[in-house]
Amino acid sequence: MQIAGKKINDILVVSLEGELDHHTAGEVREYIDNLLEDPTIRNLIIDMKKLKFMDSSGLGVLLGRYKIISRRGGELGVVGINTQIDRIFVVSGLYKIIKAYDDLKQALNDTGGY
Amino acid sequence: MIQGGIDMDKINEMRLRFLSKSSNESFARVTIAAFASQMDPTLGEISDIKTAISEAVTNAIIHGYEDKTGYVEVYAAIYPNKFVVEVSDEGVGIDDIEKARQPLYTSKPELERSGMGFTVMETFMDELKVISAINQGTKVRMVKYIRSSINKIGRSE
Ligand SMILES: Nc1ncnc2c1ncn2[C@@H]1O[C@H](COP(=O)(O)OP(=O)(O)OP(=O)(O)O)[C@@H](O)[C@H]1O
Ligand SMILES: [Mg+2]
Repeated sequence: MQIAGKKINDILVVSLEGELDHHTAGEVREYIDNLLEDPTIRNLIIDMKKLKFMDSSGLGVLLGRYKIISRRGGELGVVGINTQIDRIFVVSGLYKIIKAYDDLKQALNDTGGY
Repeated sequence: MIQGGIDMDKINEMRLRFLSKSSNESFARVTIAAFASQMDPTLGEISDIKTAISEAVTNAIIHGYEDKTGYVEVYAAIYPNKFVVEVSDEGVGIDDIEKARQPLYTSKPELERSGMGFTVMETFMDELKVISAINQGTKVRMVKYIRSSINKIGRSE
């Protein structure tokens, strides 16, 4: 799993490359939570354009970060999910709480009221 | 049809046995998907099978064996119109299967589990059967009908 993060204003953008399952979930969770220790971050966007696979372990990671972000009054968005991940989002009802975007620019424009 | 103990409809079958290590989750997904690809399934069908196997194998590892290490076995079989896969462990077992299969039910919320694994397996596959006994283990049997495969693979190959 390749993970990269950058902060844009009060938005943390994290890009994931690889497969998000139980084996890689811990690493992703720790990476994001470490950056979320910065209290000026309010919103989180996860770029999944290069994420090939996600199962329910990934759902757990997303829901856990959603809880942290919504406590701060922020939003969680995802970018570029493939059809396999879309199926997981549909089954779990994740679209009700997480916004999905086709590209990062659109996500940044829409997040946090900029 | 069963004849003399051999299932005459079966075209091919395989069995994998590996330690309950999380690094084997992707190994199981990729291996079973490669085996299933003989049926010439659609990309959607292959990805459904991969996701369902990932759920069952992960459950065997984190729930079946918890902190211990044991063997996970994956059996797969190809029939003219369906793909059958069974994931088994010899772990702690499930006490109330009906409750375990409910969407959002998890016995491990502290590990950030969402309780959606069985729901994913049920939605992505056509049949799901769970057999389990306390302290003996769990077997999850799933079937996916691959309509496109009929007449595509020779039975004698
Ligand atoms: N192989 C198994 N051995 C023992 N218990 C199991 C096994 N598989 C599932 N269970 C039990 O069934 C429950 C529900 O499983 P399910 O996969 O639906 O959710 P989960 O694994 O808890 O969460 P998620 O899959 O969303 O990460 C588990 O919490 C566990 O208690
Ligand atoms: Mg599970």
